Amino acid sequence: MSLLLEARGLVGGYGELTILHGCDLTVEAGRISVIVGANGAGKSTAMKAIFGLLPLREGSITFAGEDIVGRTPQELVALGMGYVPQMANVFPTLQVEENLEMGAFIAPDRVARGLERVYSIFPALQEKRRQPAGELSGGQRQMVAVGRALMMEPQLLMLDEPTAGLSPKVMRDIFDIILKVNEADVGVLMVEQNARQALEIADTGFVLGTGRNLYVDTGEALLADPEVARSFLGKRD
Amino acid sequence: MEFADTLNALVYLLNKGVLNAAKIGSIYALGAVGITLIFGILRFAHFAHGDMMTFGALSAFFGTLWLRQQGINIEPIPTGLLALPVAALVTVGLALLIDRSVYAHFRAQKSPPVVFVMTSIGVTFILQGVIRLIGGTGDRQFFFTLVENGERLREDKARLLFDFEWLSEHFDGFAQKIVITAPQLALFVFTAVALFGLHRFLTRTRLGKGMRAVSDNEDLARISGIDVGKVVLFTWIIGGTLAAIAGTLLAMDTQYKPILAFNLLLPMFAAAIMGGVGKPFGAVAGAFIVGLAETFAVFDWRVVYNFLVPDEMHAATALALVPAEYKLAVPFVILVLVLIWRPTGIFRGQVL
Amino acid sequence: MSRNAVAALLLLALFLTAWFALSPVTALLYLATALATAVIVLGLNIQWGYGGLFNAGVLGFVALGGYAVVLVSIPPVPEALDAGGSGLLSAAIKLGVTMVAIYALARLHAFLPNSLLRGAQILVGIAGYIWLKGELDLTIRAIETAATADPSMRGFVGGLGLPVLLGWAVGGVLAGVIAWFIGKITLGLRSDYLAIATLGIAEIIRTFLKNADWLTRGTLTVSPIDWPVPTPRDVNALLDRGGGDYSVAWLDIASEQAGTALSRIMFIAVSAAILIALVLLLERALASPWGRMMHSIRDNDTAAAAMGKDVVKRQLEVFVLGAVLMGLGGAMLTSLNTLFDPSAYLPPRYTFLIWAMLIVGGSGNNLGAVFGAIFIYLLWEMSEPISQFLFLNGAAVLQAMFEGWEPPSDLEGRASQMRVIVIGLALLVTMRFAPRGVLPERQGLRKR
Repeated sequence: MSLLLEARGLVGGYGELTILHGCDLTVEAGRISVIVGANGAGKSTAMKAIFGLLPLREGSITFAGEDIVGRTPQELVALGMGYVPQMANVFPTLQVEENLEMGAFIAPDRVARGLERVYSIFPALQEKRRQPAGELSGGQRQMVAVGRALMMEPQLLMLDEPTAGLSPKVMRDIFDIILKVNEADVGVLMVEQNARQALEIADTGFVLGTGRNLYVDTGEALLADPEVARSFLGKRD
Repeated sequence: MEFADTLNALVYLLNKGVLNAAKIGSIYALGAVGITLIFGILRFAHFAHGDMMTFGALSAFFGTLWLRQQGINIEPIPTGLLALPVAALVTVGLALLIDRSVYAHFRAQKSPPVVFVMTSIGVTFILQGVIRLIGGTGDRQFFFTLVENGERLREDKARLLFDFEWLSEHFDGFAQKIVITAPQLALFVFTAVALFGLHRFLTRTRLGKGMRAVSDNEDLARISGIDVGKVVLFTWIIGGTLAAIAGTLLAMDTQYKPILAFNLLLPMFAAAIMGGVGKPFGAVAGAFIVGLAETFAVFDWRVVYNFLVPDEMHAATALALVPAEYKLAVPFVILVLVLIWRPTGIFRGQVL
Repeated sequence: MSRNAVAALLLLALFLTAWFALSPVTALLYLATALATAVIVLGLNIQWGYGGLFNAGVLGFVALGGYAVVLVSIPPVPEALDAGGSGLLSAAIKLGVTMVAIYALARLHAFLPNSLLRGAQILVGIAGYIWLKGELDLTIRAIETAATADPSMRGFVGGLGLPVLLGWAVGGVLAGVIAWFIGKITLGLRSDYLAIATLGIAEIIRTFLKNADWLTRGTLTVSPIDWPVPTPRDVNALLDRGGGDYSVAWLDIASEQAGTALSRIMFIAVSAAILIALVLLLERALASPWGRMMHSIRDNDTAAAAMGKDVVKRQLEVFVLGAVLMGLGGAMLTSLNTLFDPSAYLPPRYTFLIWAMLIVGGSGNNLGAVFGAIFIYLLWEMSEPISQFLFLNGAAVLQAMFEGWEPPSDLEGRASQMRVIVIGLALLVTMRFAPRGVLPERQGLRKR
């Protein structure tokens, strides 16, 4: 199986502070990779480093065989990566449809096709297309955010804690959406607090601790590993 | 009380009050839109905006001088308006030059807003010096008499006069008129066209929506692949163009002065903040509110009052809420009240 | 050699250049002005360097200090007081009642929604203004038309006729009191909003002082204003009576300049004493628990608030303290100029130049503030003659090169504009290449 994204030995952080100490992260084409770990383990930082939002001090990252270290987010979007940050991930005063259009800012000719695709995945958004995104509910906002990242038909969708702050019902909806997106052969790399549910849908799971890989295995295997279960998944009831 | 007197009072109010308020409101609107866009997209209060307006007016003056010397004119358009496109270009060039040589560095450093405000104060200093250095310290008229080969060439400020003869015929004693000068007319037309165009640009074009997106959330805009550099470029192009238009039309209506627009800075900030930072049409509304408040705070109601009451009750002294010397202080009072009462603006802008 | 020593030598070099290239008395005047200005910059350093408060209304406090000297040291005009004294008193009482009413409304915040409360406060303010305005208008007219024994004092209430040094102290107090009210309503605004608000309030103060002719003589200006030491005129009169030759050849002082020089040196001595005392006091305050708390608030007000520090109250303290120094400095400047001219208080000179001094000198460091004040002021004054020299010679060269080219007739006036450009460039260059100033704040205390 070819690797869509391959990040090796990432070292970096904010200013003087080093958060990543050489972790590896990979995503196979069309598969789901999930990053779990304790608070401060460097999960979100690793995502930002991959998406060019944080300068790397060491490490290599390739996407579809191409070296992407030092590329700007704009270039990565053009290459076929989409990123949904955890917080403030919609433009509140822009209408839903304008939010989506911004996802294809670099390729205006792809707006029409992208909208059609996003509306087919999220029919709820089509009804609200003229409403400012700031007025939507949390779950709908998350749909707008994911939809925006899908506008360029990326090969890889990166999601930073897509279910943070959402109710259990909406959380299940979001997981369904991720699976649905993945069915169309889009690779997914996501960070999740709800480790158990996330690992259930993961092809590969990464357990991070202090910026290093603690465990890497298939989602199933990690769920079955008593060591992982004890330290990261809480008690099974 | 005659009906004609009521009409007299009404038309007088329109001519001396509402027209003035609309004029100053339009100037504030053109400047405040630039300020609010810069505030929203670049995230700092641009203290040098007033001097950009003055610079635009000065370039237009030199353009006018050159056109007049070349004998180029298109009747009945004032020569100053012909020079406006070049003035706008020069002002935009200046804005981009300042951005590239000063602000870009601090943007790359991700400096806090105070640093930008401070540098824009430094830029204000330099601009004020440069403006006086190349334009001199004196006042300049846009409508002047040119002496060439002993020949005196005049250009006068054209004016539209509405004397409502049909009303005087019906109502005995009605004798008020409305006078609009050519620069004022141009100001209203330009303001309307510029604001309409801006609205279309921001809501219908990809780049305009991108500008609103950057104003909403710059980080997300970058992540989405929006070219923030291009958005910044267009912010200066729009801000610079509107500043040049406002400065030139103000100078044409009154006269060019080296401190032309410095006193406009705070009222424009007031308008931008009142309208909610980052909301161009909030700023327009704020601008007209400030213009109205400022005009009517110092408006002398005596004439209107005397029209409306019997002769024996006529007032002899000025009936103004605030003495005329304090006209400039009125927008400042409004500004402070808005900042204290509702810093997010009347229309709920973003909180930076 | 330490940075401080290099900076001191640089100032000395600039001062000596002014002394020998211009004239000794001019250099002394520059130094005296620079020292008084340094007091203002110290005030701004307290507000910005210690407190992180972006006050863009420096000129308001400077002007209030200037007016305080008029209020204290100018003799009263009895005729005007007879005509309007009782009216002024009654207007003051009405103002007090209105302010108490607004304050009392604020106490009702437990019962009323905030927007309604603010609306009611504004309405009470407007009602109070109209209530007060009728009487004040009549009183002012009475003062302005009262016949006076001294025709040059017509239409002006005058002051208290007390020693000028008291005026300096009152300058600080008056600015501080007004700053307390301003701080009460503006502190808590985000940095650049605070800047815009203070800029607006300073403009209101300036407009008032400029137009309240009965109180300040407005554009007519008030002069002469006394010095705490003998003025040049006094000393010159004394020396004239002596009649000897007072020239000092090696210092380039001519005999007729000796009196002025001596008087200015005395003024400088008083100013320097005040300045040194202030710096020592401020350094002690900074090392105290209060100073350390100020630093923690400036660097992270959220964290400081979370630790139970009353951030707004502390910020009000530094705002008032800084304004006191600005008022004192403004009073010293007015005294030095022997003139109170409200129209002269313009933002570029009395707000933004002060900021340039602090930023270039090094905010957060008192010695940096003093250095910046003297350095920028000398630069400000000396860039004018230098650029005039360059411009006039440059024009002559150009005229020789291009026949028929005429320099603009107001070339000298234009050349004098070079100084704002020089200061602007100094500010931008410092911000870019030495963002913490020439004499930066000592490390370990700050992290910004």
